[in-house]
Amino acid sequence: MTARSNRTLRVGSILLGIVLLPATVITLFNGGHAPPIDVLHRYAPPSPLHPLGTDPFGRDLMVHVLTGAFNSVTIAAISVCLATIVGTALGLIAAARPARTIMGLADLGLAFPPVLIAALFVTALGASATGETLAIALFGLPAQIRITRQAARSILIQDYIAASRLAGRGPFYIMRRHVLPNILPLLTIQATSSLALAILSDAGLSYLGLGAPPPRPDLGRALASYQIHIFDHPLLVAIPGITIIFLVLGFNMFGDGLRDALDAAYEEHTL
Amino acid sequence: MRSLLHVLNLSVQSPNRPILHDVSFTLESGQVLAITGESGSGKSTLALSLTGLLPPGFQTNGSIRLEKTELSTLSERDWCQIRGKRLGMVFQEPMTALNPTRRIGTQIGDTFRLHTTLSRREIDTETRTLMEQVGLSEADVSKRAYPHQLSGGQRQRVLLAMALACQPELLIADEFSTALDARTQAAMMALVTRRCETQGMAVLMISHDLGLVRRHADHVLVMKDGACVEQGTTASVFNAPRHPYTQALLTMSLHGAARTPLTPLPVFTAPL
Repeated sequence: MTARSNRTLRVGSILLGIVLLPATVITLFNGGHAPPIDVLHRYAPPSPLHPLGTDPFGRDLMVHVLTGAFNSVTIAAISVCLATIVGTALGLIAAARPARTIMGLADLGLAFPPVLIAALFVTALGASATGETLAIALFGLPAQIRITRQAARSILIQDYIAASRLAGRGPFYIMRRHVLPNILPLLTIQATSSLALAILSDAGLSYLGLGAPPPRPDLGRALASYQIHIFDHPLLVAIPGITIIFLVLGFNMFGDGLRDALDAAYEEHTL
Repeated sequence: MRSLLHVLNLSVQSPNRPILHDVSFTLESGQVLAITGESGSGKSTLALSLTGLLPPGFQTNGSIRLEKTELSTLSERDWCQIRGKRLGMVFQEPMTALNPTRRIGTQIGDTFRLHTTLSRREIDTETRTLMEQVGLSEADVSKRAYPHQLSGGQRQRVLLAMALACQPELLIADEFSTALDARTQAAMMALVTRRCETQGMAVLMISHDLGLVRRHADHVLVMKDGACVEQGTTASVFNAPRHPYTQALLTMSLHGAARTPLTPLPVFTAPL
């Protein structure tokens, strides 16, 4: 592992840790629900009781934003899992045989802007966490299919695939035992980097009101509803914004660092 | 001797151009047939068509028979029953023919798992025996080693072990000893010829190393531009080549070898 990748990985982990550790602890206590409304203490400045002050409803800003961060990451994680599982399966099929239909649909999917897909889902399913998750997953699917297909093809031309076929193994076994283990590092990196994109999509969609409906705390909606206070109470806008930056940057750096680390380990193995 | 492999008027066509024209030969069990010729003469395509591994889009005409089984019309499913069990193949390049993420013991044992009903423990023992036979002793190479921990020669031994696992009737060796040093090469060839003598395995050896061909083959087939220009017993082809191409090939490659007479190398052979 090189010193540089090590640092990227470390900075990424620290950024994620700053947000995700307290977010998880708080969510464990309040179950992902918004903190109580307290009309007597609206717009309170930071104090020992409310470390970052309160919002226009008197809710604790820190608790609200961190709960929102946990909810966003949950939606992002579920949609990335969906896209990875389905996309990998379709990508492997597309690598094994000429699959014009799959690739055609993937290209078609790439052509639609994600907001349009999300709007479609919200129209069909109503504004819900499920609809939003599916929309983000669908948005990530084409890239996942393409990457898996490309990676699988580079493995399928290896001599050990021919050797395995010569031993009498069929395509299913070869995909499961030879191709999948060899592209797994790539898929892991891809999933981590997709998380950053998924969080950004989630924030964007809920900012536009296409995400999970209130009162579920959400980073994008917090940003949207607090933005009128950008001059009188800048902290209200800064905190959700910084949280999104930390999460996106954190997952991106974590993914990059992971890639460098795995590459280094791979080279050490093969050379 | 019973004849094992019959190839009759085999022609192979790639999407762009013809590669093999009307190749015919017979191989008897226990015999070593060498196929030689310059690069691009269609040797490897011949090997691929005998194993059903031609890339999609290639067209095959003619007949390939392994005893009573017609191979040229087999479905992929039926091929899986033949490959590994009745027919083994070793590749030229030992560095890329093993999966880097799997232990070598697993890769050798794979053929047993597929084609036999042996238990896990029996497969373990068989794998160990096979590794000893190809000269990978327990002390040197663990079954649990990964390919990157092995040298090129050791990897080639692993590949040979994989190909020999189910005691195939036919072994196809595509330039498999080219990447090896002379001593390892001799040891591997000794192992293969031993199998021919004791179990009647037939070998189709593809090589442009005429010294190697002369030492080990019973019959030789010379190819040029996808066609067979001459075939016969090794002695007849080497001593009295009829075709001008064979004569040229022999003069070019044996010119240097004639000055240094062939001395048998000290050969390492493990008991079979």
